Amino acid sequence: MIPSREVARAINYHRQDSLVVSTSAALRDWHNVSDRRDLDIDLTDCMDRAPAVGLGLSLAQPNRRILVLDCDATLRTDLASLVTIGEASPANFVHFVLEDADHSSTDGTPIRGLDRIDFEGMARSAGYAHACRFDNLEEFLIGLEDIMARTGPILVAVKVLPEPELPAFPERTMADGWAEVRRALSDETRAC
Amino acid sequence: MTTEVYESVLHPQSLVAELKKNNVSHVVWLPDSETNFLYNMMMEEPTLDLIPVCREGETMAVAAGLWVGGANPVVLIQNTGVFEAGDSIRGLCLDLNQPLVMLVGYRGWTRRGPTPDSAGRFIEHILHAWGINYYLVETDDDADRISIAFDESVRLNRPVAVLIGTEFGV
Repeated sequence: MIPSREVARAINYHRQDSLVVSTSAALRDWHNVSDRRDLDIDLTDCMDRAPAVGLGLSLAQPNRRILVLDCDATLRTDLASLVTIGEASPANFVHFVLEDADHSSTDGTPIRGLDRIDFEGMARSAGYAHACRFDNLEEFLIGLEDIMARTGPILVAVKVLPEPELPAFPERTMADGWAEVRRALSDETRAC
Repeated sequence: MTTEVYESVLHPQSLVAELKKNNVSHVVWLPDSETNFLYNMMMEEPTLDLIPVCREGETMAVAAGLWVGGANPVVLIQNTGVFEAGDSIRGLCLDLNQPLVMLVGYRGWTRRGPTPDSAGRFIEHILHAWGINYYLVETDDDADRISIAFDESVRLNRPVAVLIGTEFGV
């Protein structure tokens, strides 16, 4: 298992100018390590919709990589998004699914059968171009460089151990955060 | 005595023309049996990208991602899909002040007489409850109401619904 904060740090190191959609427990870590909050789309509400929001972004911004930081408990509630993304097949789309050993996103309440769900296999059969799985930090750090260079859509399942005390959600509201990203993208378009 | 026969139908061309007029980039939709003519016409229109989803709730989230990324999407679903998509309409359209036109097939709409289909009975009440304004489109003569919906959604930064109260004519 990999400390969830280390997963966030590694993704931040590789992101460059990627747009990052994060949700639930993944967002709690992400907003504390991200160097580009102006390119971060937070989901503190409608948390199951991160993959679909990421798909929309990937189609609107085809020349930029879109990273979705999802959780097993949230993806479980919207498995159909795997099929929607597989059908659309966005080449710039990377879908990280944090498999939470402590069930932190449900405040420790285990979800029966969640450990048996094979998100990696589901993504492959839904049409993702590539899917893989990590439960070791060193292998994840080595593999991440390759993942960022591949053609998507890609699903990366990562077995994580959250911080003993979960970090808080970001203070900025969803509406404020999304407006900030829209401004940043609009400013970049004008500058070009 | 002569009887004049009026052709009161909505052709897909009228709807596609409105989408083009309002610079729509993407149509996020759930394919169904009642929109086949429209589908064929949209596929032939090079300025429109069609994004099919599996469930209607996804349409609002995909549209939200497109919007934050600078595109100009619409969603195309049936009124039953509005019920399914309720939480995403709340959290991703209304709470984020997203200007979005929702083209909604008005299943169960009868205009006259009883309305046995609960999908038809409930949809306007649901839209009222969420404070979402809507326009009814039944014929080609009504199609310009779609532009009114676009103007309103941008001016107020809110979703606006267009209820399609008829099947498409050939």
